[in-house]
Amino acid sequence: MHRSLFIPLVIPLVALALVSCKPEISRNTYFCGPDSLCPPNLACQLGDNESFAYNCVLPREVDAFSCPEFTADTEPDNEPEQARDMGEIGCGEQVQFQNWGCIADDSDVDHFLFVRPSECNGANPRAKATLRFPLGAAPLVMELLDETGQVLSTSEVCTGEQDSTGTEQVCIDNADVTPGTYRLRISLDEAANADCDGDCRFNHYLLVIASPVT
Amino acid sequence: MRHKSISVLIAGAVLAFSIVTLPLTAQADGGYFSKGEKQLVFKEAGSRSRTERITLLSLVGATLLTGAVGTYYLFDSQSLSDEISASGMHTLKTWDQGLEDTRLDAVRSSNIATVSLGMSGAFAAATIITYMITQPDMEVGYQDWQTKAIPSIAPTQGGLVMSQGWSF
Repeated sequence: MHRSLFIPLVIPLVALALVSCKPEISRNTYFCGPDSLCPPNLACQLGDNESFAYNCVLPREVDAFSCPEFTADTEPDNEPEQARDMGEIGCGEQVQFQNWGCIADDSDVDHFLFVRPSECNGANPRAKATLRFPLGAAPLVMELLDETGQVLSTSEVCTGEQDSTGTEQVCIDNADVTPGTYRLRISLDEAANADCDGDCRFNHYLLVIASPVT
Repeated sequence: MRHKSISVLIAGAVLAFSIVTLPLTAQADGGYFSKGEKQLVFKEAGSRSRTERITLLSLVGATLLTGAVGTYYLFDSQSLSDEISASGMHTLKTWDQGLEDTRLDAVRSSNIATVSLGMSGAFAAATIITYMITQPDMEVGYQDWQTKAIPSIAPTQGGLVMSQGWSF
């Protein structure tokens, strides 16, 4: 047999041996994406109390979701009158208040109350609220209400481009907070349409309120 | 006894006939005694038919083409897989639709590479088998000796050399 005929046979067969180069992804190497998205053969660990963000793990490691114990101290707070009182927020505070919370299901709504006692005279005074929550479960929305319950502002996504925490962040940055009483209302974001087809309509969160100037 | 005598007679007659007719047969074949009709006898490999050559070339072409396609997609799938493969340390990335699309592209390229290289191997095997099957037999060739003697003249130092051949 002609020797040169081996070449076209050997090259494809050697290459064929190398073909098994599909992606290989281990557990706990990625955060869950929206709709609890994970690589194949992995599942989103929504019941993870050790990590704020949800990780993609082996299906047998997945626990059912439950609100972390440390978030239960604000309940019940579904009605505006039941809002957790955060007290007065001053002027020029970068972090005025920080709280962990949880939205357990469709019917759960959390309220927080704060008071702006007097006019803030700094440059460009604002009330700033930041809500951070894991991407793997349902997205949340935050609204700023006045004393009458009128919605003044609705949060917008403000996650940094380089954010590598597996979480989403929504913000309210209101420059029109005159002295008075205000409430923040946190609930599932019905408009976001990323609730795992109804299977992950819950989430926990970290709320930070600041009163920056400049 | 009588039978044996008859056998000996027949064998003797055949032998005598052969001896008498042998020179005549050689002459009739243009054999070794015939003047100017000697032939050079040699063996050479036969040639493939046009169809066989086209078939072989087509198979080699198909092998190379599918091999090239498979190799391209092989490297493509390796590159895409390297982008998203992870083991051990957390990547600090979120598995979003973009990464999922990359994974699907890697799997698709890997599948195309597998099929293409498999086909390339099959074509290569078919090429070898076809090459062996269509291997032509050795053929006996005949070439007439040069019947005309050609004179030659070559200059030499101080003169020249002339030569002339004859066949007989």
